[in-house]
Amino acid sequence: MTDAADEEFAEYFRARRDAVRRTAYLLCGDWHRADDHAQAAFVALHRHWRRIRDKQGLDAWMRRTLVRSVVDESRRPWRREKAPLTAAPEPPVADRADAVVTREALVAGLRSVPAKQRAVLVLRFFDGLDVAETATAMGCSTGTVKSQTAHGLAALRAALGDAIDDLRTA
Amino acid sequence: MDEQRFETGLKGAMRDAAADAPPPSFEVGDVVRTSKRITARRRAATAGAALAVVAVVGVGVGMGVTTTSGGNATTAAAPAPEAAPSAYRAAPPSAADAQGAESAAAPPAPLGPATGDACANPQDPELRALVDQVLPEVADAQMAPTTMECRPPRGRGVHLLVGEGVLIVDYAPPGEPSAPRSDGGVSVPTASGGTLQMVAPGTGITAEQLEQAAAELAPLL
Repeated sequence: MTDAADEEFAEYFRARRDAVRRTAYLLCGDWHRADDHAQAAFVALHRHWRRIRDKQGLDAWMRRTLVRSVVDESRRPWRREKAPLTAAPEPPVADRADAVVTREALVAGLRSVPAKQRAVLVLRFFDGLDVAETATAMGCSTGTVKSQTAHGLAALRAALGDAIDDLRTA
Repeated sequence: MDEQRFETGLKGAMRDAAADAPPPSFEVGDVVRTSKRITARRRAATAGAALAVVAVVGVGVGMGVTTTSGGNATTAAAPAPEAAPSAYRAAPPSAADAQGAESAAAPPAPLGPATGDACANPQDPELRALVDQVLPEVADAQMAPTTMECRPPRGRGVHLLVGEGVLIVDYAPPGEPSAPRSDGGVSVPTASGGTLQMVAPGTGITAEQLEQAAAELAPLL
């Protein structure tokens, strides 16, 4: 790549790395794997940088790549999703912040949701995409996004159980 | 909790959950280096395959013989061999292209034996490129330590750290003896007449996956 293209890529990287990492974390539930997926997505972007004409669509391109990376990994037998490297949530104790418990319960709940449904939930409720944008990122129809959303929310509700009442309302 | 409250609470909880990110484990330099390494490996594999095709075409054309009126056999002037078809075409990002998939206009000639009289290279770069092509999941795997054992020349090897174990890929050229494996690995004949052996202890790669990978790699070797 030319120096100008290198600098352009680096500028995009600096602007978007943290957001991509956070989305990856919610998609896979583990910061180490999130960094692996985020880095793989940026590597793929760097390799395609010259050929991507529509630089306005970079975020959408990255989301597609990231989602595909996480969903593909969930299918590989020798990389089955394991328990996160972070320690399992401890039982609530008197001085433990409720927010930490809620956070851990949410991440654990998300991990129990099937990969594609989890991806739809993260794209719609964390990244704030609408149905059409989510369908583009997932490579599926809007009808599929709606049904995956409904099933994903139901699965997450069931997984959260009593912790659902601790979710913030604002 | 009604649906609307649940969705609102979910948004806030997701923001909270993702807020305390640890320091990132990669910088832009890491991304650029990895990208260039992958591109270089694929170009080496493409160049190796293209040269093999050119060599085969050149030999085939050069063997055309015409006879002059004096009875002397002369070799027909070989036209310049066609440039090998590009095996790597740029494509707009799409669902199938997100991982940089390559397409070849024609099947490449098998890689075959290595050249030289020295011991077989246990980390043969050309074989590595083919392994990466067949098993993209190990494209970023680090090389595993190997023994000082001198394997027969013209052979090729690749030893990669995968998961908790090592993926071992060994190619023995035609004429070299190779005993069938009894350790769960696979042994198959290759297109060049040699033998490909693959074993992956401790990697999590199953016997079926190993057989599938060997079936895809054998026609390339």
